[in-house]
Amino acid sequence: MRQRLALAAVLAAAVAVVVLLPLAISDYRQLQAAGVATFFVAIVGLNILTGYTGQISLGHGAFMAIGGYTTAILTHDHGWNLFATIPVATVIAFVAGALVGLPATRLSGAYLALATFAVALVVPALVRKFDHFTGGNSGILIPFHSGHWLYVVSWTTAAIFLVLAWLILRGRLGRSFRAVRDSDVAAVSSGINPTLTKTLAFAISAAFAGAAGSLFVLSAAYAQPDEFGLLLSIRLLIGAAVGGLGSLWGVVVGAVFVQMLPVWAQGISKQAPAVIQGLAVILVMFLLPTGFAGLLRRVVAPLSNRIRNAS
Amino acid sequence: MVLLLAAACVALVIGSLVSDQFAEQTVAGLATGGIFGSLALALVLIYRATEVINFAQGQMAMFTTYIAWQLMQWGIGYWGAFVLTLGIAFAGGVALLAFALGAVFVRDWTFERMGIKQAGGGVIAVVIVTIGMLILLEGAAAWIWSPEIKSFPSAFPTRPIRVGGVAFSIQDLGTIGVALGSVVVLWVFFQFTKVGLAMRAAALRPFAARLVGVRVNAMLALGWGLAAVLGAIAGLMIAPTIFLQPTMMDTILIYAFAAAVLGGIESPAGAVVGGLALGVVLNLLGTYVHFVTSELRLPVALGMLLIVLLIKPTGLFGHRVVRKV
Amino acid sequence: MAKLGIAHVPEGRGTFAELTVMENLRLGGYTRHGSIRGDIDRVRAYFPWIDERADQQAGTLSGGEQQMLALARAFMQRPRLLLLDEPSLGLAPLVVSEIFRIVKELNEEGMTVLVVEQNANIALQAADEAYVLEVGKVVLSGPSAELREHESVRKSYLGY
Repeated sequence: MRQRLALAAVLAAAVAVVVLLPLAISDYRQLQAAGVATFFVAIVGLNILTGYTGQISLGHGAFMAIGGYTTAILTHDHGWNLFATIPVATVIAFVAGALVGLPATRLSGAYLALATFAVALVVPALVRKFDHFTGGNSGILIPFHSGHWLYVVSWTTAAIFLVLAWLILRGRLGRSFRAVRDSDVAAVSSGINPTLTKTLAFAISAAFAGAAGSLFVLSAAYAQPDEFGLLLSIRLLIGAAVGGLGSLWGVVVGAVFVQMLPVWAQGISKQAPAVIQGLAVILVMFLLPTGFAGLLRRVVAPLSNRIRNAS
Repeated sequence: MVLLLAAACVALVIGSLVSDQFAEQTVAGLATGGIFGSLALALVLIYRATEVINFAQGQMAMFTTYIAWQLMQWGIGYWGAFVLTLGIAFAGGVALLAFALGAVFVRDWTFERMGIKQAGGGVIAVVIVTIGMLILLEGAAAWIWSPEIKSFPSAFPTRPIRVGGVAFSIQDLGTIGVALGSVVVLWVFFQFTKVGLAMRAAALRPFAARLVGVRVNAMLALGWGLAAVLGAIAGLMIAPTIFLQPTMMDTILIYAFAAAVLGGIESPAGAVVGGLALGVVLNLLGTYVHFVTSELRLPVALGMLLIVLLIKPTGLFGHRVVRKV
Repeated sequence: MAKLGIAHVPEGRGTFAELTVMENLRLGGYTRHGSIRGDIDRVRAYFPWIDERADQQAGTLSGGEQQMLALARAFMQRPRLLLLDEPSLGLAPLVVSEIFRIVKELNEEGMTVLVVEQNANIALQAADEAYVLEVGKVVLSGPSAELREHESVRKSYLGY
C-alpha cells in the first residue's frame, strides 16, 4: 500500500513537472524538450524489444524513418491533418516491424545485430533511390510549428505511449516477452510461441519508433534521409542502455542524455565535442553498466527498505 | 559449402581467362576483399576472446594510420613507419584491454567497499562502450590532425603490370599479398606455437585454461593487441586509395562486419573468405550490373547478406551452438 | 595452482572440447619448460587409443575417453598432487573401473592423488586413506581397508 502511494506520488510529480515546465522555459528550450519526448517514445519502444525480449536492434532509426516519411508524405502530398498521421505512421511502422521481425527471429546475437544494422543502412538508401516519392536528398518540407506547440504534442504522445507500454508489459504479453528473453526452451514448455512473441515484440517496438519518427519530422519541419542515418539508430541504443534495459523508470534519463549530449559537449569544448561525447558515453556505461534504472534499483530499493523497517 | 566455394573459384578463373576486364576487376575485388578480410579477422579475434563486437575496430585502424602518417611527416621512411606503427598498434591494443580490465577491477572493488551491489550490464554495456570509443577516436583524430582529407603514400608503385594483355595494378597485388601474408602468419602462430594455443584455449574455455596454468587475462590482452595490428595493416593498405580522414574506416568496418558475419562470427577462416568473397562480388556487381550504382552498393551487399543469413543463420562457416538447458 | 604442481580434473572434466586431443595434451604441459615429447609418449603408453585419435576434436570423444583425456592432460602437468572430482560421473561401470585402475597405477608410481567420489565401493578399493563427508563435515576417517569393514559405512554406502 505504502509502495503504491509512493509510486502515485512520483508519477503525479512527474506529470506536474511536464505540465508546468513550459511556463518556466523559453520556446527554444521547449523545442529541445520536445526532442526529449521524441527520443523517449523511441527508446521505450527499443526497450520493449532489447530490454524485455532480449533482442538487440541497431536498426530502429529505420523505423523512425518509416514513421517520419509517412507523416511527411501524407501532410505534404495529400494534405492530411498532422495529428491524423501519427496513428497511421504507428501502424505502418508496426507492419514494417513485423516484416523485419519475422525473419529476424531466426537470428540472435552478432547476427541479429548485423541484420538490423543492415536495415538501418538500407532504408535511407532506399529513400534516396526512390526520390520521386520521397524527395530524395532534398527531402520534404512540412509546415513549421512553435516550440510550445511541439512540446505539447510530443509530450502528450509520449504520455499515451508510456501508458500503452506499461499496459503491454504488465500483462500476459509482457510476461511472454520476458519468458522468451530468459529462455526460449522454457518459454515453449509453458505454451509460448517464441517466433510469434519475438515478431510481436519487434512489431510493437517498431510501432513506437514509427510514432517517434512522426514527432521527429514534426519538430524538424522536414524529412531528409541523412537525419535517419546509422547515427540515429546508435543514439537510440545508447539512450536505451543509459536509461537501463528492462525497466521503464530510467528511459527519460536516457532520452535527455542522447538529446542533450551533443549540445552540452559543444558547450564544454568547441574544438573537440566528439571527444567529450565519446568520453561521456564510455564513462556513463562504465559507472552505470545497468543504466540509470539499475542505479535506481540499487539506491532506492535499499533506501525504501530502510524507511519501511524504521517505521 | 566447400564445393560451392570451389565452384565459385573455378567460375572466377574461367571468367578471368575469357575477359580481360573481368580479370582486372576480380583482382581489384580481391584487394579490397583482403582489406575487409583483415579487419573482419580482427573483429573475429576479439569476438572469440571476449564475445564483444568491437565497433571501434575501424576507428582504431584509422587512428594507427594517422600515427603512421605522423611518423612519416617526422621524416621516417615508409617501411620504418610501417613497422613502428604495427608495434604501436600492438602495444595500444594490449594497453587498452589491460586498462579496461584494471578499471573494471577498481570499479567493482570500490563499489563493494561502498556497500553497493554491482550487477553486470552484460554484453550490451560493453558494446556501448566500444561505440563510445568509436566516437572518441574519430573526434580525437579530427582534433589532433584536422578533419581535412590527406593523401597517404602507397608501399607499392602505382603503375600497372601487364600479364598477357591484362593490366593488373601492382598496388592491388601487393595489398593481396600483405593481407594474405598476415593471415597465414597468424594461422601458423595460432596453430603451432605454445602461446597461440594458449590464446585459443583462453578464448574457448577460460576456466579450463586457468586450470592448466594459462594466464587468461594476459591472453585476452594479447588478442586485442593482435587485432589492433590487423586493423593497422588494413588501414595502411586502404589509405592510399580512399585517402586519410577520420571517417575513412566507417564503411570499411560495415563491410568487415558483414564479412565476419557472412563467414560465421566465430570462424577466422570464414572471416577471410567472407571478406574476399564480398570484395569480389561488390566489384563485379559494380562493373556489370548497372542498376547497382555507387549509393546502392552497400544496401545491395547487405541485402544479399541478409538472404545468406536467413538461409544459414550462423554464417557460411559457423555452426549452431547447442546449449543444454 | 598449476605452477604449484597441483593438477585438478574438475567435475565435467575441463577438457577443451573444441581443440584436438593432441592440443589438449600440449596445453597440459603449458606450465612446463623444455620438451614435453617424452611425457606425450608416456601418456600414449597409458592410453593407446590416443595415437589414432590425436587430431580428433576432444568434444567428439565418448564420455569415458574424455575422462581419460582429462586424466592424461593432468598427467602432462607432472603434478605432485592430482585432484579428481567425481571421475565416475555419468560413465559406464566398466569404464569407471578402467579409470580407477590407471589412477591406482599413477599413484603407485609416486603421484599423490585426492579423489572425491560418490561411488564408495570403487573409491574405497582404490584408496589408501579415506574420509567420509556428511553435509560438509568429516564424520569418519582412516585407512580405507578399515572403513570398508565399518558397520555404518557398509550399511549406508556399500549396501550390504
